Formats: sequence, structure tokens, C-alpha cells
Amino acid sequence: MKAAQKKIRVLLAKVGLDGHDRGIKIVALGLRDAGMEVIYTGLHQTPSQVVRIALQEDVDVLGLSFSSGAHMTLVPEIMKLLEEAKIRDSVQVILGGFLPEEEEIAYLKNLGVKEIFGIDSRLPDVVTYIQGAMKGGEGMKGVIG
Amino acid sequence: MLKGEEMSEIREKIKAWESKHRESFAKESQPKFLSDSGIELQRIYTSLDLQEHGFDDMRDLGLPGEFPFTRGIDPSMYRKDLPKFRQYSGYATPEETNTLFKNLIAQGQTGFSLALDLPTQLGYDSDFPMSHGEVGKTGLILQSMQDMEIAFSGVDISQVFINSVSNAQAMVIFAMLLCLAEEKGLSHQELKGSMQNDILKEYTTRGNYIFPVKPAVRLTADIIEYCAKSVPQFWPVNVSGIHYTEAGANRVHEGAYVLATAFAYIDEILARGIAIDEFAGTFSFNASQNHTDFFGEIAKIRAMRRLWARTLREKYKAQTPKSMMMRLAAINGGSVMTRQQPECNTVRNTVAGLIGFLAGAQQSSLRTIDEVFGIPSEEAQILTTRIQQVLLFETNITGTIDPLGGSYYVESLTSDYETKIAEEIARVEDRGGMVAAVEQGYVQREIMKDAYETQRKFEAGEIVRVGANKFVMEEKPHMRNPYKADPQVEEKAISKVKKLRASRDQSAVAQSLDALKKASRDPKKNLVPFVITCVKNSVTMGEICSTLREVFGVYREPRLF
Repeated sequence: MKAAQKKIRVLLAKVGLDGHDRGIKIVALGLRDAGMEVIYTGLHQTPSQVVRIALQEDVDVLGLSFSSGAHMTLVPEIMKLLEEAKIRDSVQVILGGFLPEEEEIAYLKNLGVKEIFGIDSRLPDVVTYIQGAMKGGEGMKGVIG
Repeated sequence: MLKGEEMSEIREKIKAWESKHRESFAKESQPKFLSDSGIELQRIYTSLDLQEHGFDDMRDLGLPGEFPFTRGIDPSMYRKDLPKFRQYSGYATPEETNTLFKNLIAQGQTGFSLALDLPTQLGYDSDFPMSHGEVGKTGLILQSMQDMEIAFSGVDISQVFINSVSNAQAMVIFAMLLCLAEEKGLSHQELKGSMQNDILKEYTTRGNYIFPVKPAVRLTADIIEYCAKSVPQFWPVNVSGIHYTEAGANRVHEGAYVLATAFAYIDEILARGIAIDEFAGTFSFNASQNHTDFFGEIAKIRAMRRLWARTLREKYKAQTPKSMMMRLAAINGGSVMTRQQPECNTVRNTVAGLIGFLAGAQQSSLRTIDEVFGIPSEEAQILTTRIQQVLLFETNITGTIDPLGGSYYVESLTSDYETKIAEEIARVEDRGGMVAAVEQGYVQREIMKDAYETQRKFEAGEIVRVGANKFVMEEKPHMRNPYKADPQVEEKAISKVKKLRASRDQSAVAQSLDALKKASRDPKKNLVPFVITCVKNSVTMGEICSTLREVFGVYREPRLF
């Protein structure tokens, strides 16, 4: 008999002052409809608030949404704090909400971001990616380029 | 009005027509054709539909410039004055903004919207922890009266119309404008300009809030009250619909939440014992003009205009026509544009512009075709202006007022929208009004559902975006123009504000903040004079807002997940 599958736990967060949350709310609903446990922090979170919740809630995935340019300042800080909390390898960090430049993608992935879902991404792609990443277990590399 | 006999005759003719053409109807591409808010479109609309909607020409349509203003708020409309286009402007530093203003004035611009950076909009100085990485990225860094003076140095503000996109901290900007006017020898009576100052939409759609809802509405009302009493040429509130649309709200929700918001502000001011006609005439609005439902959008705007007039007269007992008029700017949004085959955005913008003009807007704002990629290029900005100019100067739509008035379809649809918008407003009122509905998270949940539904329909191809999910082609990578902030901007702003703080009369600063704190604890005190005193003593934006944060607390979003 198949053991009950543990639900994938996803923390979605808006860090910094950017107030655009249409996309992240859509992702939250989509992931919930796909059977995942979703926690959404709301706006104006600080990096340390987000990492603390990620730790407390023992999440599998951390999804961050940015549409102003602050991702280049805030993501490195978040990755550093995840490292300090010793959960950098157990939490898959994915980004969305903006149109990344080539150099940005390389830089962010080097920091440990697993995947970036640019503005025109489709919900099924995000769902498929997360489900695939979870099946692969820890340390899975990014699947969709 | 059709007589019973005429109605039966028409009904019979339609029945016969439907029988005769059953085969054709069976081949129609969809079983139903719907608007985004679920209103079903009939195959045709006839005089019968007007009858069935209870349409009364003089009561529901009326005449331009007369209650209920369905046909427009002015008896001459565009035959006299063409709608205005607004230019958005603002660079990171006050000095750059000053240069920009002077250039625009030299080019003949007489009005602009002031865009502020996020720390400024959220009441933080550049050296506050939350400001790190955000300084100067979305507009002007305004930390003190000195910055305001630099931005407007050499600018004759009696000749230019300044609109400030300022909400949570609108009071600080407003106080700065009043001080600026004084410094330039302009009395409060003479100061022109406007402020968005629509805090309720921040909680539901835009996210630039600071304080909890009730104290924030008090601040909003303080500005409206102050203007009603002593700054008569200033427009203290622009109740916003475009943000609802951009957040995903359907047209019924946009219309309902805009009106319910305005009613909430009215209720707050009436509770202060001020008569409706002393302030309702200072309200202005914006609403979307998105191309995605041409007639639906026009009907929505006409319905909003009529519903405002009716509510002001019947519920609030307004007497002055000015109170009952909806002064409206029509704006289109980026969310309905595409990054694929962006030339198509030219068409989307053109159709959007046409919507606003056919719906009788006082102002029109259109996006540029390249805003989907970053900061608009100059060429794209010029094209947007030319689109509006071609529409207004070449098509002859301005020669008559409300050209669509009397259309069976447009009047039926306007009536449908009015009914549905009124029903949603009633739902909001049942929850205790817009303030309560926002605190409960009701509005936020409705919009979220709309947004999710739109995404689902787009991914399923039920909503078409040419180039993006239909008629897709291989494309060369498009020119992108992302905003590259000067990395020094944050450092410079920090050192500037630190210098300012060190150079002030510290006891005057402390005293004015103390007086503000005391006054803000008394809900009956209008805080504008206290903020003016602070601003005159070089108290910074961050310091003023921090004091208010101490007293009011900060807003906590209701948990949606």
C-alpha cells in the first residue's frame, strides 16, 4: 500500500517595499489547487522575517516575488540568512515577477536560486517544476532553463 | 416608450427571425458570449430591451451637463474642451526632477504627475533599514522641505498643475506643497494641484500603505476637510479604479469598489459635521479604459457616472450639481499589453483611447507600447501622444456629445452594469462599508478570485492575447530598457538627510513632533497644521511618519493563506 504522500510545503513571500502582489496570489492559489500547503506572508517582509518563517514552518520551497529592482539586493541577503539558519540546502528558492536579464539569471543561480519564473510564466510550469524538484529529493538542480 | 401593441409586434418579429435562423445560431462558436463580469451578451439588442430595462430617456439618459450626467458632466463636452493627457514624471534626485520639469515646461507641458520612490511613499527616510536597495528606484526621493524646494526651484507653480501620486503619507506632501506655495508668494486660495490620496485602494490593490485602515482614513479625510475649508482650487482626492483593474478585478468589482470607497470617505467627512456640498465637489476619479471589452468598458464608465450622481442626490441629499458630477480620468493598464509582438500594443492603446473619449472622460492616460519592457522610450511616449491626437483631431468623434447614447446595446449594458455595481456596493455596505470590508479581507479575496480566473482563462486560451497565446511567431529579442539606478543615489540621499538632521534647530524639531504626536491621539484634531509646522522645521518624511506609526501602529494584512 502506498504511504500517504506528504504535502509539499511552500512559503511565498514579498520582500521589501514593492506592493505588487497579483502574481504571487495567483501562484498561491494555483499551488494550493495542485495539492500543496501554501503559506503566503503578505507584503513588506524583511529577509530575516522570511527566513524565520521558512525555518519555523519547515518549508520545502521558498518562492519570492519581485517587480522593482530590489531582487539584486535582497536575494543575496536571504540566501546568506538561509545559510546561517542551516536550511539553505533543504529549501528550494525560486523567484518570479520580473523579466530577468541574462547576467542576472547567472548571478542569482550562482547564489543558489534554483529557478526564475519570468513574468510570462504559466502556472502549470511552476507546479510541474516544484513537483519535479521534490521528487528528485535534496540537491536537485534546476530543471527548466 | 413603446406601447403594448408595438412591443408584441416586435416580439413576434424577433421570434420569427429566431425560428428562421436556428441553423445559423447552432453554428455559433460559443453557447454563450459573456463579459468579464458574467453579464451575458445577447445576440441583438432592440428597443424591446430598453423597454425591459425600464429605460426612460429623460430620466436615465438625460442631457449633457445635467443630472444624472450619463451623457457627460458638461453641456458642451469636447466641442468646447478636449480631454487632457497627463505626463508622468520624476527622477531620483530633486535636482534631476527640477531639470525635467523645466524641460517639460519649455516644451509646453502645463501639468505633471509627481512619481515618488517607494521609501518616500512608505514614510521612510533613505537611511531607514527598509529603504535599503529601494532608494530612488521608482521616482523622486523626497525626504524634507529642502528636497521639495530644489525640485521646484525656478518653477512657477501658479502656471503648472502638479498631481502627486501620494497616499499613505499624502499629508506630508500636502503640507510641503502648502509651504512651497507660501514660499513662492501663493496663497492657499490660489494653490492649484491634486493628490491621489486614496488610501483604501492601497490595502486592496497597490500595497503602499503604512497605518491601519481607520487612522489612515482619518488622515485622508483631514486633507479633504482642510481643502474644503481653505484650499478651494486643490483636488484632494482621486478615487482610483485603474489599480483595481491592474490587480485583476473585473469591471463590476472595479466600479463597485471605487464608488464604495468614495462613499466611505464621504461618510467620514459628514461625521465631522461638514455638509455634503462643501466637499463632494472636490472629489475626482479614475477608471480603466482597457480594450478587452470595448462596449463593456464604456458602459461601466457611464454606469459609474450615473450611479455616483444618483447616490449623491438620493442618499446624501446633495444639491449642488458639482457634487453629483464624476470628474473622471480614463487610464489603460499594462496588464493587458503583451511583450510578444509589442507593436500590437499600438492597437490596444488606440482602442483604449477611443473608449475613454466615447465614454466622456475628462482626462486620458495611455501606456506606451514599450512599457512592458522597462522605462518608456521617448519615441514610444511620442507615439502615445500621437495616438490621442489622431483620435481627437482626425476622427470627428468630438463633434457630438455621447455618440453612443441611445444605442440599444450600450444603454442596456449601462443599465446592467449599474445594477450589478449597485448590488456589489450593497454587499460591501452589508459588511459595514468599505472600511470594514477591507479590514475583513473581503475585497482582497474577491479581486484575487477575479485575477485567478483571468489567468486560468488566459492559459486555456479563452482570453486571447494576440502574439502571446494566439498568432504566436518566432521573434527577434526585443529592445529592453530596464531602469538602471545610479548606485550612488542611495548613499548620497543618506548623507544628505544625515547632514540635514544635524543642522536643524533640534528643539523646534522635538517640539513640533511632540505637538503632532499629541494631536494625532485626538481623533477630532485635523493634523494638517501640525504637519505643516513639522515640515517648516525641517522634520523629515521618515520622522513625521515614525511619530504617526508610534501613535497609530502599522497595518497587518489579513491572512489570505
